[in-house]
Amino acid sequence: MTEKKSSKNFDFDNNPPEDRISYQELGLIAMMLAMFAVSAYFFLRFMRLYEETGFQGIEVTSEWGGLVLLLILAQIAAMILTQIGLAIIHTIITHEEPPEIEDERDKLIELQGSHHSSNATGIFFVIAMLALWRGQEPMLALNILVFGVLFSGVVNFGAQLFYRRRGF
Amino acid sequence: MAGSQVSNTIRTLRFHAEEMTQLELAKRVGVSRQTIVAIEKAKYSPSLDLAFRIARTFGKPLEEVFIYEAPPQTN
Repeated sequence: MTEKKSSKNFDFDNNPPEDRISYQELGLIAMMLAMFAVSAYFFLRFMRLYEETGFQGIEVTSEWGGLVLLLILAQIAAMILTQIGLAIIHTIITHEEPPEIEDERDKLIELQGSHHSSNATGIFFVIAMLALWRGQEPMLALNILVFGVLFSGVVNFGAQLFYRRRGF
Repeated sequence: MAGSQVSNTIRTLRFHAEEMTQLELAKRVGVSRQTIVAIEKAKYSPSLDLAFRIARTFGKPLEEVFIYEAPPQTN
């Protein structure tokens, strides 16, 4: 018969503290930081392009399109590298494999993140259309859309982090 | 989902089940420990499937593990 701990000590769990940050939360913070870094870099490149050309001319549109495609690739690469880097650091520090369980609550939290993200994209879409309606340059509307997509990515991770910390 | 009307007795049941840890329960029912924490705190109402798996782990009927507290009638 196994020896039982005193029932007076009802806080019997050998559980880690519940407010300790989880691997998934660390991943979300790391991805947010990676997205911020990539977005900031490309924001500076967009600004330099604007200062040099004023976003006028067909060549600039072509260069702008290339920059957006590069931005998408850089974001995907940053997310993959962040995940790999985090898994390696986690394994080195804890000597354990990163947790791979994705359960129903994780999926619901991801869904909530996507929901808020699509709302943010919708708001930026409306702002871009308002800019066109007010007679602004089409390039301005396109820039608003691009940064709307970037911002919605941050909203996605931020919302997931919020629901994980608050409880869902 | 926060502020669920479904409370539960999981913490007590774990205590009576050889002081099972949240991690052990999580592994048995196939979810993460954070999910068990959220369910215990009634911050997350599990799916029927998961609720049955938790109840079966303790060998109890569902109603002994999860208790629905209906909101007071206003009329």
